[in-house]
Amino acid sequence: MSHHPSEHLLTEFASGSLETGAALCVRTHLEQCHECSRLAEDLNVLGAVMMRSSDQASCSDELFDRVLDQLNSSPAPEKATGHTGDNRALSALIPGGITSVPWKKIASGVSSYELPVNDGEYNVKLLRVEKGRSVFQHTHTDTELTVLLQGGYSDELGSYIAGDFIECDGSHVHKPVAHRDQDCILLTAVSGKLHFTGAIARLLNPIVKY
Amino acid sequence: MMVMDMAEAQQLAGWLDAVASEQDKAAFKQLFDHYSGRIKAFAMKSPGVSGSATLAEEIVQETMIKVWNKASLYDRSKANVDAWVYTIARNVRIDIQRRNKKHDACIDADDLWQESDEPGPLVQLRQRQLADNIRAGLDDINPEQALVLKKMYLEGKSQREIAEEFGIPLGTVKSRTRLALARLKLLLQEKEL
Repeated sequence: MSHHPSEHLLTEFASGSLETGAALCVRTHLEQCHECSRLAEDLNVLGAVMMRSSDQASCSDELFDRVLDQLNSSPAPEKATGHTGDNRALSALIPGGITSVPWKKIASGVSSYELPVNDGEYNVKLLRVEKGRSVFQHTHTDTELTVLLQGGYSDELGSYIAGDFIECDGSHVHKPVAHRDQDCILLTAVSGKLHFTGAIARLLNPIVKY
Repeated sequence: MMVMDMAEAQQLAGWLDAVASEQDKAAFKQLFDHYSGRIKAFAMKSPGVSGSATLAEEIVQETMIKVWNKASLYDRSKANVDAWVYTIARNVRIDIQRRNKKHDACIDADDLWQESDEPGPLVQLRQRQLADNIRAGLDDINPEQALVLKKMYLEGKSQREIAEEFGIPLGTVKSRTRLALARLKLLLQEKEL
């Protein structure tokens, strides 16, 4: 794996200011990338230091008692389950796993499934590109974040494998082609619109919504 | 200074252990006294709270209940208590911000921003050294860069929102963030820990 989220994106993630759709992509990458997980942990330490070094506010006297009351009525403390490595966020959206996804064909060799992430900013979906097939050449008016879940693809900018994280914006025009060995499955979050740039595909701009 | 911090870190971890193993309410009170004022100040700045002491105290309350409930999940070999409490308070704030924006919370903040399972006994030590570096660096960082970090971490603002607030290009916010991280020795290539 050689493509990672930028440091400023990881900082937004660690500070908790990243929108859900983008955070889902970052989380999915972190599951598979030790290096970025470690940086994200370090960026949490930055948050802890900042929280600590800012002022303190005094709390009302009865706040601790209110918390104690709640403890008595809240469920039993959580016990460690022993596995923290699953992608609980993605599993919550596709409980049956990737094999259960009800794909919808959107073009020859390309299907998609829209994930119910309503964060007011990103349109989030899974895309499946059959082996050797391609997505129309396109660019973005804003940001496109992609994490490869399975298989691989290449475009004008490089070659990507499972776990890779790709951040594109309006300065990138690309035509991803899935590698020939297996179908390629991507998690993608797009803010703004995709814009098809090929001669024929341009006609699709008003019609197709990736 | 370093020794004090170490003693304090051990003390906090000890209280948390007592909460986890014996549901020790006296130890929990110590943690509450240590963190509640900081969490409240942190919460007051968050956009959904907009200065409401009542709402800020709800964040304190919810955070401390999670500290109690999750105490047994805390692993002192993985994170220091400060960083652990920070992630809990941050997640509570995210959930409250989402509720305010009326956005569908189809995924719990805890699932998206879950604690990592980075292994290794050296993590505590590394994080403590890192925290020392950060503290030292924050004191003499460029004010514009510090402001960007503050907006993100303490006010929960995205880089896009920061760009809009100051009327500067998004690229400028991104580069200020990167320069700040470089100054704090947080970028991968600059770290020697």
